[in-house]
Amino acid sequence: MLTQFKDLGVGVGLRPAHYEHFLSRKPDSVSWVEVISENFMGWEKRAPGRALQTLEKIRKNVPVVLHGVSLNIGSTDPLNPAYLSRLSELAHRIEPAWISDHLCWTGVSGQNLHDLLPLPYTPEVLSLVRNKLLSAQEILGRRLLIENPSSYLQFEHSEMTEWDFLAELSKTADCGILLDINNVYVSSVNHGFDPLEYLKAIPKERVGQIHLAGHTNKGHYLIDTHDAPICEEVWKLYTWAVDHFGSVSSMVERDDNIPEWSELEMELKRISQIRVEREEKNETPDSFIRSAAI
Amino acid sequence: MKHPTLSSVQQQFSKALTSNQDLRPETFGVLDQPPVPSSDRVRVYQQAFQIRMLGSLAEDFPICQQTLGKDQFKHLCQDYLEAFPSRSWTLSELGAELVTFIEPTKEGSSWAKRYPFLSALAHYEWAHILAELSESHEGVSELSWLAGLTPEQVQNLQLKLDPSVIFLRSPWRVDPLEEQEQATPSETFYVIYQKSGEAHHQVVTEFQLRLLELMRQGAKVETLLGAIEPSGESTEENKRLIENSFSTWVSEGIISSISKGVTK
Repeated sequence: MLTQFKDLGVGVGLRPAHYEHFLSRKPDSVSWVEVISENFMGWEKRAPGRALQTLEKIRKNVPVVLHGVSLNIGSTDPLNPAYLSRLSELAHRIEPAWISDHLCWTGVSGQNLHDLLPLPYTPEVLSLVRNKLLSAQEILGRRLLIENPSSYLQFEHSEMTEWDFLAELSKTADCGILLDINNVYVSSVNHGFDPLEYLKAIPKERVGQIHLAGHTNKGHYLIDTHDAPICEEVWKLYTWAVDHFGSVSSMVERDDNIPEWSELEMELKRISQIRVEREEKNETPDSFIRSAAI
Repeated sequence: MKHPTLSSVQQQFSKALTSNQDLRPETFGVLDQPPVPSSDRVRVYQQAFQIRMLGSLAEDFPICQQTLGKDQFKHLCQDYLEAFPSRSWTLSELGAELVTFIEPTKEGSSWAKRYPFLSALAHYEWAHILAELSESHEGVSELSWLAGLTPEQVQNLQLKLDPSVIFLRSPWRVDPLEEQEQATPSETFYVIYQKSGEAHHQVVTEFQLRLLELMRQGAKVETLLGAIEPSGESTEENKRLIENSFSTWVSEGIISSISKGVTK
């Protein structure tokens, strides 16, 4: 089986508040949507219900990407077979362009803490994450995209930077990267590094998708709240990233304080504009990943 | 100094998020990064955990929160999460064991002693969540074809309930709490269902509940009419009740399809 992370254009993280705009037709401002996988997977002992019914209607009008928050790839717990089975069923029903999750751990000893928690970046952890990721990709029969998290702390015993860890993981596990520009920015402020240094270290050919979002400024640190418009610093980084990585599938994530669709469309149009300007400047998008079956 | 293992980091971090004890970030190797102290950095995650978990339960049990007040509800949630930490991949399942927790014989029995109606209320609210999450059908839109049926065909009709319909036999009448009125200790029969994507309920009599249960079992109209006799009420009253009930149940989407059964 072959999978491709191709440039789908401009997308949006679809939330229930905006379902109505996608149930009868696709809005002109987007060409694909991303949904949170777990919201459509049902429970371990309960089939998915109305949510999946709705998603199947939306899928008829627009390509869908599945974005997970509970793969728990960085935990010392083994992969959850029931989770992977449900995710596989969902992928079969929805036929997503691809599936993604996060470089993090979300729980341990069977407990789900429902947060994207940071990892120490060491060779041992890299080995653990790589092995779990390879297994998950084999079970799902496709390559996954792994997203860089935002973080508020680091570990004393980390031996490499997050960007080196992610680059190495993508090569050794042969996965794609979902590059969250806002997360890079939030972490750069929280930990005092240069966000461009991060972006430059990411292998271009591995970047299959870009996230843009807003955050909250708490004075000495930023929190990745997804409840505000994208800030100018993130727009500047995105413009740089489009120049550097080419026209990669890009989208806006908004999870709280969700605005009217028309307001969200302003940000989607700005993404389009940046992409068009880049394409006019260069000739051919160069971010196109071809991958072999696992 | 030997650094902590990943397992130890995750166990300690998990404990820091879920307990209200003093934070000790040094025990799991958090890097000191002035000007923000390590404990404040861990606290960002701790607060996010509390807000997310309590927020999710408050969203699923708004009447419990309104009735108990925010502080008591928060204590209830903390007790509950200690006894039933989330093991699901989705927050939508977080409240699934709250009813069990509050049952008088279980871990949360002190809550049942203080608030005797609380278990019934939690059950009522959770049934609404399940109905809302459930698959649901479009409902019956065209009934004119019924007029052309022979009496025998009418007897063979099968009325099917929407898959979202839940029956709840509650020892308390708890729905008045929505309007901040008192719950009363009287057996109440609720039918909870999804309509236009939202959960609704109806209070029904035991007789109506029996009819609905028969429909769920696939009974034909013939069987439903047979159920009228032993009810103890007069047949005419029951016939009128049935006519009115069926009309309401169809318009509310509780009955989501009517099909011709197999004729003998």
